[in-house]
Amino acid sequence: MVVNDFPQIMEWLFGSADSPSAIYIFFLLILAATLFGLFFGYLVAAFRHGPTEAFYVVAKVVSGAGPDWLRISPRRTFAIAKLAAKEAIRRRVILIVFAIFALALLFGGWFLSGAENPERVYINFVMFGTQMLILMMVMLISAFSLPEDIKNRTIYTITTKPVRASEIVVGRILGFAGLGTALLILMGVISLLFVWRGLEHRHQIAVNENNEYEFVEVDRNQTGRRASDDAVLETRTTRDSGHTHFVEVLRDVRDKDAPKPVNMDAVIREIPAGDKIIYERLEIENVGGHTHKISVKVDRDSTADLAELLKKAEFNISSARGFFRARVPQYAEKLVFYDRDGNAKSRGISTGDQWAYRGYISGGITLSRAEYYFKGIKEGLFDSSDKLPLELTLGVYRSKTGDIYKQIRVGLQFESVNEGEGATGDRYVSEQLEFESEEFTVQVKAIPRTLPGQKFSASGELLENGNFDLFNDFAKNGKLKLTVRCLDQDQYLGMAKADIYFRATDKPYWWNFFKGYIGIWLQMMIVTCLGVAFSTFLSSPVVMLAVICTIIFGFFSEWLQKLASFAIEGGGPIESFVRMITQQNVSQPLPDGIVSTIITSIDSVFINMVGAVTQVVPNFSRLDFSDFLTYGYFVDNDRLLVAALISLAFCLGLTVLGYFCLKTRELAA
Amino acid sequence: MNQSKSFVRKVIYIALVGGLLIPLSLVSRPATRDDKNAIRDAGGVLSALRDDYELSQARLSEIDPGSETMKLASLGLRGVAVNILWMKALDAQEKKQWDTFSSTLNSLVKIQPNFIKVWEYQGHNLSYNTSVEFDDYEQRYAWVKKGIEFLTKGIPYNRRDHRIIDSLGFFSGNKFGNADERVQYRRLFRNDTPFLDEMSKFVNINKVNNCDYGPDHWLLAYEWYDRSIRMVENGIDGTGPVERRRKEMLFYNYRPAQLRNMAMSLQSEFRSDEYLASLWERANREWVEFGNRPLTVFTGIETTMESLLRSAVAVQKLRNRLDDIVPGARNRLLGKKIASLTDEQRLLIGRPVDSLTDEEFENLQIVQQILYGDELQIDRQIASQAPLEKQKETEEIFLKLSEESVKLQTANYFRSTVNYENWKMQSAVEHTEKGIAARQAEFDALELRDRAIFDEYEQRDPITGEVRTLPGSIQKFDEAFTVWSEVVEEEPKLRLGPMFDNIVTTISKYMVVRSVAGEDSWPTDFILQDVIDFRSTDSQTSDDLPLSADVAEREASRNKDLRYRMPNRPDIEFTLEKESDPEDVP
Repeated sequence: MVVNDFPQIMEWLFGSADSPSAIYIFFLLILAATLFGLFFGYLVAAFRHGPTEAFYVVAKVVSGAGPDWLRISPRRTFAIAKLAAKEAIRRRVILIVFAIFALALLFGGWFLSGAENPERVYINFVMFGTQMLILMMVMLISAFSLPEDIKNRTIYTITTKPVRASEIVVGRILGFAGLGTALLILMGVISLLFVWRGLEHRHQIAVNENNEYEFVEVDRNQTGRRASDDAVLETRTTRDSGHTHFVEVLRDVRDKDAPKPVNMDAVIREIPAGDKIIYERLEIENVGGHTHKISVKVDRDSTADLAELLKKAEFNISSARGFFRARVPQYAEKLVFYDRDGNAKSRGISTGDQWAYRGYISGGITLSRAEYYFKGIKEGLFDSSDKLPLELTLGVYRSKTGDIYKQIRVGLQFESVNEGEGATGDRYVSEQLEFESEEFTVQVKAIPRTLPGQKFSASGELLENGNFDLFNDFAKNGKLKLTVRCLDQDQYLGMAKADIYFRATDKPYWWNFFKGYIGIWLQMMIVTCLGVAFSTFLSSPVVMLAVICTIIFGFFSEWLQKLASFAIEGGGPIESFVRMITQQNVSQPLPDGIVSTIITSIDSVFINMVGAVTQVVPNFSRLDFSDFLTYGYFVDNDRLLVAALISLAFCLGLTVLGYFCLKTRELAA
Repeated sequence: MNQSKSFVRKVIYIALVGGLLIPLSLVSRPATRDDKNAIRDAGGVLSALRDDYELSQARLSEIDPGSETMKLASLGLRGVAVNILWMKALDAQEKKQWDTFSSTLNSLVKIQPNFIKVWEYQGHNLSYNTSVEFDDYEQRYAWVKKGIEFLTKGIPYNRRDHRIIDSLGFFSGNKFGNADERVQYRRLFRNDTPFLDEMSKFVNINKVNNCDYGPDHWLLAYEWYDRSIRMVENGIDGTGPVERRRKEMLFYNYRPAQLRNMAMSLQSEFRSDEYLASLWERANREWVEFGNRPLTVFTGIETTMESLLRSAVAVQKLRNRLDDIVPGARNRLLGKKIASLTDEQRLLIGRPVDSLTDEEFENLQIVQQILYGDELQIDRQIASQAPLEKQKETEEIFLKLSEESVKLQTANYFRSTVNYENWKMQSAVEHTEKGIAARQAEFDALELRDRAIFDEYEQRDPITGEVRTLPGSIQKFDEAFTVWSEVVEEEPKLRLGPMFDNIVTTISKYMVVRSVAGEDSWPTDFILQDVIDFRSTDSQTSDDLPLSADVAEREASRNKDLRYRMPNRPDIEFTLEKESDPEDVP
């Protein structure tokens, strides 16, 4: 998963060397909005009442706002909220939205089954579907409510009562939001059940035309690297839910005193061989992020040929395992690249990739490497204290074909970081762990707690060669340095900060799912506030259009910002149109001349306008956590908190805007 | 009262909606067919129009609920949805999120199912662009297959368009068989039963499996192209032939080419045998059949590539008849043209080509263009100079001459475009005894090379004790080249074709083996030296192999006095065994 650098909440609130404080920006915006509001309010009032009277009108509205908000009655607000909810229910929009949702789930399974990574597809489907339907629903109910009331003059039945404008705006927002929340909860629960039900499946071991289980010998020429190193036989499961698994028989040789295999039900035979035991056991291949537990009933004392023995065995394959993860990654605090000459760089070597997310290190006899600096590594973080799961997603770039049968080799080396509290002055450096990379795959490496390595004094003198403890020696102060090297000459390994992490104990899935839905809820709140605020001064269709535009700008704000910074080839709307009809390549500049100048000048006005709008609309992609759920990562609290604060700021601003607009309207009436 | 009015209004609306649905359902009713695929009901006007423009599934059995739902769910904003999905797909591809990329494409084609270019472009994207992003060749293979499987999903939506089928043929043949990882891809393909099962839904998989060496992707490609040709010639499901959307000559060239490609792949992997001989024979037969296929020149005029010679003879005969009617006219007209040349140009005529510089050679070509470039123009003038009583006859001759001339030019153009002559000669030679023997010797030579047996060696029979001398890699190479020299002697045209290009690659390997074995990398009396020398005169080939002149120079340098004396001690004399300047050694 692509994870861009994200500040901690305090850093975000109070600022750091790289980014200004969010509080500071918020107050600046408040100030700017107030000044603009006063000026705009005065203009409107001047137009209606004349320039002198306008001062009094604006002053009256502003001075009345304080008491209006301070004396807001929760009882009346609640009553209006209830009324808004009732009215929305009467409009049957909720019913229609829910019916569409139900239909989508009923028939959704048709299109989702058979995907390679079914969990991702299912989660994507429900998250995207829920998000769109909920946003559409709140947009519709909020857009039609106030303008209809004003048009039908039913608003007077409320405004003639002692109800404040603030109560009307807040009440409506709360009413619609409450309704949306209830529907979102319902949709969330149903979605979770739908995903769980959709992913639930079982397989059988496939039989041949004679109705027998047929395990065939593993032929490395045919299987390539797919088969496990110690696999001797293999077969397939039946095709269910659009996929099959390979089932392998492994010859697992272990020391007598070594721990037994975890799943002893899958062991076919235990064959003693001197001081070793050979476990002939079954294992099911992982497909699309899941596997199954297998158990076998067989005559364990039989000395018959293994394949023959398995023909008569009884197998039991469990339901899917491995779905519904909420992995908690312990990312490095800092990543430093070193170029071929050993100079530290903030970015890795470029291999010409258009996407600059990953930096590359070069392999072989070179000083190029990447250093990850972790902190807070302690024993309690992980499932097992014997082994630390390190997960890596590495990119590979080959400058020459090399050995096609082998992947590019990776070297990992751990080192203590002697700074700060708990630093002993001694330095521990582990021996290099080496393995082959697997591009575009999350590789899981279980790092043993005890690592062979060397201990050096502060002066660099070698004190001891031996085995050292990862927690008590290497990361005694919680800090740990991980050096990544590419071991093949003229080849490259690519990585970003989020590509290598220690995987702490997983969090409950339902909690992560809930957090994902909080993201949708925050978007819903902003859209509700937008709808209510706009509906205080615009007619329903215009409100809808405005909200849809805001949502589109919100979802594509990153792309639009790129467009506004002229980083997208092809130019603005007019230039794109000209290119389309004249079939010109986007990378070719327009021919020089007056026409081009005119086109680019008009386009730059458009593009700058788009740029300005993207600055004020909410960036919905920051409130969207579906990627975390899709890829099985836990949504971290800082990210969620920042999203909540951003949403709160928008909601407050929009509520205030709605209040003043309604107030102006009342006055006008 | 108000309530009842409102109720009545609602009833009227519902009745109107219901009423409008009836004509709508009538005009857009899809065609239905019986078990024998005969039309039972032709369907409504809209449906027929859709069928005419091949826009959507005009038959009940072909309607894909997924695609229809997606189209409906976009609420008329299909264009917007398509743009968003394209952006998403491009973004996912850039960020290497392959799952997202693949699933986005699946959504995309659900709302653009009849846009052939989308299928072709994105299928290519999966098989060619995405596959190479992976470091592991097995993953690459999986993504090539994904591109193919993606394309097969487009078939039901575009039953009357052969372009997806052609792409499937191209991907199945070219990508598996010509990629850098072709050896691995072909090995994986042979054992990929699930993929073959999947393909069996579309092609006759028994024919793909009809090979002594296991299933072959070139045969799969052949089956796809065969299906495409059948669609164009006979149509599908009794709905009549479909429109051919590719140039005739190229369209029909692909199917027989797959057999040749397969034979070439197999002979690089296995020792040539009877199966390969029969495969080459079939490749040759189908290639010649293609050569005999009438191809359109203009509307109403057809020619075949095999009729080149016939057309040439016909043209010559017609010209002779013209010359007989108007004797001497051609020479007079030619003489006029020669007179219009400059002195410099005139001097070039008749000079041997070997003696010309590059610039002179270019000028000579211009001269030839002036003199013979438009012979039909001369023919026209000759015809117009005929006596009055012969005018009608000469006009008829000229018309025939024009037609035959165009046929000749077109056949020539077609032949050069698909390299007809060379492939025909190669496939004719490869299945002969000599061809097979040469390939076997080449294969043995490479095997011995891999076993590091470079030169001949002795082997004692463990039972009889007899000592036998067995050939090494070098001797096997020599054996192969001896056979090839006989083959090119019989058919000199082969010297410039792709077959000899392939032999040149083998010669390069031979040179390496000789060097490793401690011999001169290039023998003094190399049996194919004449052919190499001949090829060097052709501007299209660049073999980078030593020519006779290089060898002669090397030999001369070897024989020159190599005694050296120390400058300050002329009484001391020493000799170098070999010339050590690397530039002198080929």
